[in-house]
Amino acid sequence: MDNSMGLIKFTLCVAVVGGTSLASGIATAQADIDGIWSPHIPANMGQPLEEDFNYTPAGQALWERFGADNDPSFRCQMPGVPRGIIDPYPLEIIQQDHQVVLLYEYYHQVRRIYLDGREAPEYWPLSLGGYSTGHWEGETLVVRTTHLSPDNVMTTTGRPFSGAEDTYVIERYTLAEDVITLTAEIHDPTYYEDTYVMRGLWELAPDGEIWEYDCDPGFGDVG
Amino acid sequence: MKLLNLLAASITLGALCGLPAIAHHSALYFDMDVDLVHANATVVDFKIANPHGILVYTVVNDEGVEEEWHAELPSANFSRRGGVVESILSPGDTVTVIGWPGLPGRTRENLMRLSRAEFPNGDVATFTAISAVYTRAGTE
Repeated sequence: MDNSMGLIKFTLCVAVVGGTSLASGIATAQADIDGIWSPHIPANMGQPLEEDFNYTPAGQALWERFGADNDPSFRCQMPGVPRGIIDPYPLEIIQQDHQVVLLYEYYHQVRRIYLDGREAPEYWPLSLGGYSTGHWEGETLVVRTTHLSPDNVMTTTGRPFSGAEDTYVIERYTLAEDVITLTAEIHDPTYYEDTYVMRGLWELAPDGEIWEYDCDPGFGDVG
Repeated sequence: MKLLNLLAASITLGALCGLPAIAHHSALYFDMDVDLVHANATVVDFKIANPHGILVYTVVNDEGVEEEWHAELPSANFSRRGGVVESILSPGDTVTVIGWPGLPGRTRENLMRLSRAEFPNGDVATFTAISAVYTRAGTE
């Protein structure tokens, strides 16, 4: 094969591959977040300060009624989004071109972040995990989650979450030197006057393990 | 283990400095400003479980009456990663139990959140809301 034939074949391959990628809407990831990650929440991250909560009257009323009777932790309810976003358990990430799969140790939670340009189907039900789509902005994975359940809460401490039709969550996972930093914005105008922001951090754990998390509500209640 | 220790330190530091950290519902149900100490407690049952482990024990109160108490532990995954497994305690064992008592009206009576267990042989188990560390005597 002479050089000109090789150049033609190479050009054709680039054109086909490039065309396929463009047609499916997949933006090539610029960060490798595949692997097992261990949680680490520095003191200046995590949940907002108490004085920074700015409830609507409806949110304030619900917060004041929270207790063991309606604490989802005691019922072994999967934390979902937003409650389970920064729980301090290991996280495994499977990175593919068309999706990123988040496998949480905590409650075996599985989330699929679709990266191929699809949108939530009309039939998609409300759920604790919702429906997540995303795209890459440099080394940051940006995730938008909708279709969230009103059965959830914001945190294990019972900050309310409405799951109303206009609620959504934007997560930004940024990789730098084997550390993923997450900033999550929860938009819930029913219960909060301002956007609720929580932050998390994970360190790459090449020898990390995802353990079984079986849950028995018989071991949860304090009442 | 190193990471969990660091995590516990971060949370403690956050609490001391009034900085945000992981919010845990323990603070809703237990008085984390009070250390309740039960020396010479006798183990009735001990289970490592999710969402919380439980230590059931009896202790003689100041009036000489035996009471049964329950001490709640962190999740099984936090406990086991820190070396706290079911074989460390058996029914009939004696142990000193230290923890945060339940807030009146928020929990049932005679319930605490375990913060520390001291064993007759010098072993110690320490707990935060989201971590556990078992330390054998002489290895601190």
